Amino acid sequence: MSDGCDRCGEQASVGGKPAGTGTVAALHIALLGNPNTGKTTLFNRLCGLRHKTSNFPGTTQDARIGTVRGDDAGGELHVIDLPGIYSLEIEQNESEVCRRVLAGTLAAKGEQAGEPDAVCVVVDATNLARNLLLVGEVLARRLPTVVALNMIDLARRGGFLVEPAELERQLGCKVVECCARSGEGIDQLISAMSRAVVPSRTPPGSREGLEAWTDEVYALCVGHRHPPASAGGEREGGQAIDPAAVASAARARARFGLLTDRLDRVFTHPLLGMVAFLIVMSALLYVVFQIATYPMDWISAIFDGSEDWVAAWQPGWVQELLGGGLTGFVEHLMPEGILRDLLAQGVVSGIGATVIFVPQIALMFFLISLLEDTGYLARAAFLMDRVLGPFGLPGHSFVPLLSSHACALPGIMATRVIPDRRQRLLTILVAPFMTCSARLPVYVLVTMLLFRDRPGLAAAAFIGCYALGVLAGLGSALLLGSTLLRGRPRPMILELPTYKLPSIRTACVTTWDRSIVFLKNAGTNILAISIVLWWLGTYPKVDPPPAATQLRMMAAEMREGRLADSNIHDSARGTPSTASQAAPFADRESRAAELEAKADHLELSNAKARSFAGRMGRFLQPVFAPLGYDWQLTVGVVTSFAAREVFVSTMAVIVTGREDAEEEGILEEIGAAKREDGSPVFTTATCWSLLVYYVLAMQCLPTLAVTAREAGGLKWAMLQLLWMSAVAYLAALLVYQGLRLAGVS
Amino acid sequence: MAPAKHQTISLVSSCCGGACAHGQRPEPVRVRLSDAEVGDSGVVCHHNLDIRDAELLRAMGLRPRARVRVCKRGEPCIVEVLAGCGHGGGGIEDACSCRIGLAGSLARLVMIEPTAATPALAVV
Repeated sequence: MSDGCDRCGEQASVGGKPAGTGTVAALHIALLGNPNTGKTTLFNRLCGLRHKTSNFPGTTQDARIGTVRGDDAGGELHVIDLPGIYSLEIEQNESEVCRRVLAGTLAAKGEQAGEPDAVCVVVDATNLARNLLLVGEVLARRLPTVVALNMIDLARRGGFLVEPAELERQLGCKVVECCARSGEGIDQLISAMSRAVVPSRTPPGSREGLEAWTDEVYALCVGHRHPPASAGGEREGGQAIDPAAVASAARARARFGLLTDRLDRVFTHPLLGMVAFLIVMSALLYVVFQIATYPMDWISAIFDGSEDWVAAWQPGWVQELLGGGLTGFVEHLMPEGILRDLLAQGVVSGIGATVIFVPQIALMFFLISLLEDTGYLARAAFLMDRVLGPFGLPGHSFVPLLSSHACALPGIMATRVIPDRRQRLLTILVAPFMTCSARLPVYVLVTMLLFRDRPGLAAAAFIGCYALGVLAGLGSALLLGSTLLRGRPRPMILELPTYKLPSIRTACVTTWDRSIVFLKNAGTNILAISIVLWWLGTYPKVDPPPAATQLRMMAAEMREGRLADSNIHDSARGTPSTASQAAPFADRESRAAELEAKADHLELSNAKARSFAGRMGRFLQPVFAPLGYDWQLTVGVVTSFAAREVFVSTMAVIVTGREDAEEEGILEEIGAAKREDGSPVFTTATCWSLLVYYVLAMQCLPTLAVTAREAGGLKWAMLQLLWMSAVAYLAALLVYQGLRLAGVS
Repeated sequence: MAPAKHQTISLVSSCCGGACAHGQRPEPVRVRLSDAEVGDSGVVCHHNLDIRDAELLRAMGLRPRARVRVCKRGEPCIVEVLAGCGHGGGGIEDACSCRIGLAGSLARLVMIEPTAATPALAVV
């Protein structure tokens, strides 16, 4: 150990900026620490929502940069939250990012690279011995440093009597006791960061030397390891050590250790652990899918309107203006034309299509963050390592795969926690097999057609779809892991954090953060794709079919009283309506409206069929014919290539001429659709084939975009697309042809 | 696929400080971490881990001469890393809250010298 330079004493400046002279220049503070030291909680406590999430260019590491007002003497502090690491010197992506940030050669996107003005090392006061290693590595870099002795409340309760003054003397830098959860010591920490100085001591450079140094510092700084400083048990600061209190704390620690041992044994037990896991996950998924329904309905009503809401609105013009939601509002305000269609059907609908997923994703992240904070997730990861291991996936893959059940986009982004690149790639490639929310409308339609009035069977088919997705994902991982991505799986090593009550505040900030990242990354893609889809489904504009024109003329004549109901010929009705033909003419206006609705239906169906997407559907129909799909279903499949949730609304337009797939009775109308030869579109075999196809097919362009980014190349996205499409096509083909051979039509 | 690099660390030391009756240093008792019983403590003396795993475990505190207590056997093997390692103990042994879970396959590669009598252990 060597003493530091005398020039770096108390009068030294922070990163070359004079401290305590009223300067208002923002200081850049790097927040560093071991995992599970409460670093993120501290960042949230310091910056709250005054932060942005970015990433480090060329890496997959997130960077959170927040602003905190410094003390009276200094200006603002720009705090950058670095990834949690155990050491700066090991070969891990996280460690490399931290090394480069401290060296000033890497900065978050949009930030200027340069050495930070100070480093704040967050250490867990209850686990000081291990944390000192990282502190030593930082001190050796000779940057202005502050040590935040976090979780001091737990340390006090557990009898870990750390002596900050002695620690400060040994480290040669400011040490601040704090508790990020309660906010204790935060003001002092901010003040210390504003005035950080280059440490006055430098630990040894070699690994062995550094380890010996940490042991020595630990021995000197933890009160209960000291022989009593004086006969009366006085500590340096004059505070008396009560031996009874120390013994009591040790007993409490032993009891807690025993409880932790027992919980660990249960949660990692092959059977008991699995039962606990299933209970926890069922509760999580139930809450996510049950509670998220409400905000999703509200969002849907905001964008598309809601009859229930409108009914209560007065006066009538408010209903007219806002009854159609934001889409209707735009359509109401703007004159008819391309720009109106683009804004209403492309942009507003695209934003709606993105925002609708946020409640589920946010809720999923919130609950995962709570679980993570309790310490349970680390145990679950080990349990899942046993389940996923035979398929070549690590236990770390479990959270990404779970998140993918809400949406594959955050699931793929969550693979950043997987340390091994090969296993990370595997997880990215198979994550979209998990049933996401966008598949649910298709499942609802098809299971309703298959099991009308048999809700039990429909529910079983639903669960089967989820299971098929998981099995396909695991099977694909096994295959890819033994061929293209062959390699030795890395055995799992994970720190098991202490069990504790989760922090709601941390979960809220994390949820906010992740949701914003989702909206920024995925939202941009979804919006762009929605606009392209709208264009493909809307253009080229075609003339209305003659039957529709004739119906409109009849409607006009009906209004003027020049046409009796009995004069309406079937050919002009577009769709047969024998019952209405026989009915006595009662209300001209309503009959005219009925005729116009039929004309609208004919026009919309015709426009969709002759649009670019429709033409593509017709062109590709022979490809999908072996799966049992006619041109209408093929158009549905083709238009939903970029976003699978579009399938039901496309079918609604093609079959019924109405765009609102949630309208009452519309699913029944879709189910009754006929092929050109008059046979039903949705036979039992076709329905099963369609269901299997949508469980397995990629059908999500935003996911491909995120895969390309996270996996580090378009080739991975292409592989994912081709693999999933091939699996889906073959499985649907087998199902359709198999059922036909078995006599099920 | 390049062969995995392994790091072998041996820190075999005398278990009786050379004060043996025959003037010879007896071989220290070493057991696999995976074979140690729940509740047993020991000092990490030797491992044959992949260099990346070794580096990570070392940074996590499971380093040569680290004092550990076995909390759970099997899959995963859970150990508590006791503070004050490397200086011959003498500290407060339960003053620790660092718990590491590692795959059974890794636990088999880590050898410890038990610091308490553990008759049930398979001596290597």
